[in-house]
Formats: sequence, C-alpha cells, structure tokens
Amino acid sequence: MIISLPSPRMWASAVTRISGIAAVLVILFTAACATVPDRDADPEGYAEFRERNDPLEPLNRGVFAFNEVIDLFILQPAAGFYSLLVPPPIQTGVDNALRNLNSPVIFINSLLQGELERAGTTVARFVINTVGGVGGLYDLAADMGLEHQSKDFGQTLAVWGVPEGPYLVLPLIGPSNPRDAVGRAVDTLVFDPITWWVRANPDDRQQWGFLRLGLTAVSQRAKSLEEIDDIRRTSLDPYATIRSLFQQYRRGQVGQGRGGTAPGGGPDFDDIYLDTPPPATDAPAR
Amino acid sequence: MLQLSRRRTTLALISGVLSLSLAASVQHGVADDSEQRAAARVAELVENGLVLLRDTSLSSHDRVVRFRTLFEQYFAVEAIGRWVLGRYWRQANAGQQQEYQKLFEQLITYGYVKRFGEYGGQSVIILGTTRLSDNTIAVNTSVTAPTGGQPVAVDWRVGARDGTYLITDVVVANVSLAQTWRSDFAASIQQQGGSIDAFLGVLRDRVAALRAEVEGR
Repeated sequence: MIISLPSPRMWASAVTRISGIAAVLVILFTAACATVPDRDADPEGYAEFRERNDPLEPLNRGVFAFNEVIDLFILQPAAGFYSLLVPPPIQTGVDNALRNLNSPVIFINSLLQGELERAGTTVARFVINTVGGVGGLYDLAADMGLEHQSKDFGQTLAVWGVPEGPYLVLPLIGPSNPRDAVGRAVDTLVFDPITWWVRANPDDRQQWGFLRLGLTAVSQRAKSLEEIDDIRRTSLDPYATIRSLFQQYRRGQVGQGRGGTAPGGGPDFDDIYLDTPPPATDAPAR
Repeated sequence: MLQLSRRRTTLALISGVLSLSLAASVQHGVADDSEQRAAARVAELVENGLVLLRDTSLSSHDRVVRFRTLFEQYFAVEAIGRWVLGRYWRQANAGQQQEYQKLFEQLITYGYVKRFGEYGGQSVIILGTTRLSDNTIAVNTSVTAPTGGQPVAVDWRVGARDGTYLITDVVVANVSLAQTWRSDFAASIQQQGGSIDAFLGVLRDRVAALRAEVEGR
C-alpha cells in the first residue's frame, strides 16, 4: 500500500467530514442518552450542562466503569510491579527510549503546526539521543538545552481550528474527544513509521509493536500511581474529576500548541468576593 | 491513558525548596506593590509548608492541626468553598451551608495531608506575577523535581483586597484545583438527584473515611 501524504487542507476537509459524521452520531446518542436541562426554565442547569460538555455521559460512564475494572485488575498491578521492581534509572531510560521512538510523530506534527524551530529541535534531539544517548536510552539532548517537545495530531487539528467536540471515554484508552480520537488514530496508523515497519512484515515484527505498546501503557501508568489513587480516595465522583482534569489539561496543551498561554479553566475570583460579604480576613473566622 | 503525572506537583504545592534566586526573581518580574506582596505571601506559604514537611517528628494529629492552620492562614477557605459549590450554595439553607463549609475544609485537610509523606525534595522558583483582574494576581512559579525532568508551571491565584492577600486557587499545568472540585461536587449532587442533604451525607462519609485513614496510622 502506498500513501502519499495529503496536504493540510485535504486533511482538514477529511477531518471536517469525519467531525460531521461524528456530530450526527452524537445527536442520535444525545437523544437516547442524556437529559438536557431546559434553557429557559433552568438556565444555570443548562449552563452547567454546556460546561460539562458531556452529552454522552451515561454511555461514557459505562465505558469508564469498564476501564476502571481493566485498570484495577491488569494495568495498575502491572504498573505497581514495574514501579517497584525496575530501578528508577532504568525507568527513566525506558521513558527516554519510548519518547525517542515517538520523534517522527512529533516532527510531522510540528511541521503541520508551522513550528519549524520545534521541528528542528526534534530532529536534532532524535539524532543526538539515538547516536550519543545509546539508542535513545539517555536524553543527552536535554543536557544540551534541547528540551523534549510534545506534539500530536489532536493538537494539530486544534491549531487548524477543529473544535474538540464532546467528551468521550474510549475503551482501554480512556478520556478523549472526537478531535483527539481522530488525532490518535492518525498519529498511530499514518504518521508513525514503526506502524509501517511492522505492517511490512507482521509475522516477524508484530511482537515489537506489542512490546512497545505494553511498555508505554505500563510506564505511563506507573507515573500516576499515587495521583490516580488520590483521585479514587478523595473525590466524590472520580468520573467527573477525571473528566474535568482531562478537559483542563488538554485545553492547556492545545493552548500551548497555538503558541499562547491558555487561561486556566478556573474561576474568575472576583466572583468569589461578590457572592456574600467579604470572607477574606487575615484570620478567617472558623 | 490520561497523563496526570504533572499533578504530582500538587505535592510541591506546599513542599519545595526556595531557591536562593527567590528574592531576586520576585523583585525582577513583579510590577507593583500589591503584586510584590502577593508573591511574598506565596513565598511565605511555601517556606512554612516546607518546615512542616521536613518535620518528621510530628504525630499525625499535630500534622493535621498544623496543615489546617496553614490552609486557613493562607487560603480564602470559605470563599473557595462557596465558589466550589457554585449555584448549589444559593440553594442550600444556612444550616446546610455551615455544615458544608466545615466538611469542605476537612475534606481538603484529610485528603491532602497524606501527601506530605510523599515529599520528594521538589524546588519552587517564583518566576513573576500576572495581574488577572483588579483583585486577582497570579503568582507564577515553576516546580522542579530533584530527579530532573521538565519543570511544571504552578500558578497561585491570589485574591487581594483591602490589604488582605489570600490564595484562591492553585493551577497546576493549567489544571485548576478549584475548578476540579467544583466539577466533582456538581456531579455528585446530580448523582444524588439534586438533593443537598444527600450530597452532604456523601461528603460526611468521605471525610470520615479519610480521617480514619489519616488518624489510624
């Protein structure tokens, strides 16, 4: 199979079409799944519904519950063992190597976002770390001031003006949205040379693809063992907490992609003081 | 999976070694007097938090008490609580509001105090300040783990009014803690069919569980 890389414009139109189809599906699901508060009778409820951006919530909660089970029985224990048994320097090496393998995807997306300097940095990093950093195990380039750049096609779509769409929880993958789901598919299936390399001779190479996938999942999960644990412990509704974290964090990353600092998802704190008499004194009353 | 590793730096929220460059950078990146005071306030909290963190001789009870003291001293606790509850605050009656505020503070205290044991020697550098509105200043800091890795941006929103400087939110890698709690609580109230009483029940149970966990060690 030969695929020539289409131009950004073609991508944008294909993506618009996909988003259109997704939107139709979403409307169908919405009718079946979520209750939208009445705009006039319950304006605050309606505003909250819009802010959540989760019309497929009942379906998403189902997938979330499924993912939680998989996590509790497989991924979390695996990550726990990994974090416990693998010495930290080796963990760092694994992270570096996996990142290094991802360089082509970062490079292509930097180009598509018009960030030539970052694209250059990524090429330099790849060469330096592959040659001088023993196949990418050591991040020599970072020591030289060439920091890791993070770019993906979901971000690229955002830069091109594609809206994120409603919140989605994907089976096994987790929090996402139509834009990021398409982005992930394109990054993995189209941009990643390793996918092409595996496809060229699957019988001999497939296990390397799975090894990389497994290592990525386990090493990533190992980094947030305490955090996920804290969320499960302290939040009243972990589903809603993770949804909020994902939306805020991702919007921040996308804001970076545009070269600006995105405002936080947080409140305008002048509001805080307007609600009732000033609560703020040097020694707040208990 | 969702990359939450940056949230690790919430620990650094109170942990953190103030670098020597602190005094210099505060003066450098800060425009006016109120911004300078907001930055000083955050620096003070980080320093005090660090003292508490390093004190391994404390019993878990004393640790809770001192954590809560710092929280009350530096954060606009009640205002945050109100904002987090959002529109449901106005729906609640006075008794419910009062109980909610008590439980909210306990939830934060017992929920976060455990993280004090996880301190890994992060360092906090104050980069400067940004004025967000007449009454709100963001103190921009950068938190670095001792093991290296990319520093994480942590913004402290400070509400400044009538000479009082209190932190109203902590934004870690673009994730606002207040916003996250607000989403969590709204969802929980909805799961309870919109009943404030049922929600307070859930909150009460959660606080009791966290408290038992903290005091049980």
